[in-house]
Amino acid sequence: MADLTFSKKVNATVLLVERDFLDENIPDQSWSIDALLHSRDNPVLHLTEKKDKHRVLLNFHLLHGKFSDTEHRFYHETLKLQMQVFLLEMWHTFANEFERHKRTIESGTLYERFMQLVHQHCMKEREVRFYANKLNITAKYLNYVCKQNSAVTASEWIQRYVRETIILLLQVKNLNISGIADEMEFSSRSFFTRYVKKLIGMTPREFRNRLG
Amino acid sequence: MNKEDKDRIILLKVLGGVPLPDDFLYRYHTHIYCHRGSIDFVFNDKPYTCKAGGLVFFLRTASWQI
Repeated sequence: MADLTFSKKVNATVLLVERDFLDENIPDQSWSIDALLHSRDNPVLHLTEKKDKHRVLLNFHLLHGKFSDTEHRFYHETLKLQMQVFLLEMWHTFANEFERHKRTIESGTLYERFMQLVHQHCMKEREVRFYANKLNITAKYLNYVCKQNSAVTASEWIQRYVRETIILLLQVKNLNISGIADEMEFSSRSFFTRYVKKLIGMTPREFRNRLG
Repeated sequence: MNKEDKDRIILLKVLGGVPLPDDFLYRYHTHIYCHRGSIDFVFNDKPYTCKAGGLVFFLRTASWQI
């Protein structure tokens, strides 16, 4: 992200949440991955419903209010719970938009449908053939369609999503590496390690050590 | 609460060109609701504009560091 500029007459509310604190309080990893992948392609969400705007702003203030209430006898416990509520409320707002987007894509072009399928299945499916079969076309034609639409092949798109997913899971320190390999249906931990090394230039363990 | 914890969650009202903290992208997940005016930015090499009624969210990932 670069060149963030506000217009002269802007009026905006900004909520900054420290990454580690938010990541430690994620109530559902699967939703978290969906939110991350969706936001990467759609960082702006237009809130058409008044109640959504109200919910988002209320959510900002409730989290900040709980954070500021340092005299509360159960400060840490309530703050952690409020962080989780915050995420669930944001995902709720995001899910409405995500589902509207999904409905549009279902009737969209082959390329759009491919991108949606990758988004849904990249946790476990890393072969172009899987997606081509879902779309009833050949893998070669799917690569051609992607190249025409984005200058990137289908296999490169799959790799990008898988890379992002692996990084996200490795950041969650209470998930063990074998568990991630199993969850993503790699045949063994050693194969997973080699795959990650090729994808991000370091092993899962090295990546975790870098995070500190 | 220690000093570092005091900046764990920050709520700001932006009117005009008030800057955000320098390290906000690296340290924070950022959520911006635009009430009026507009916000321009480049994300993953693509330009975006958020107008009134829009919500911007940058969910920081470690991949941006590699």
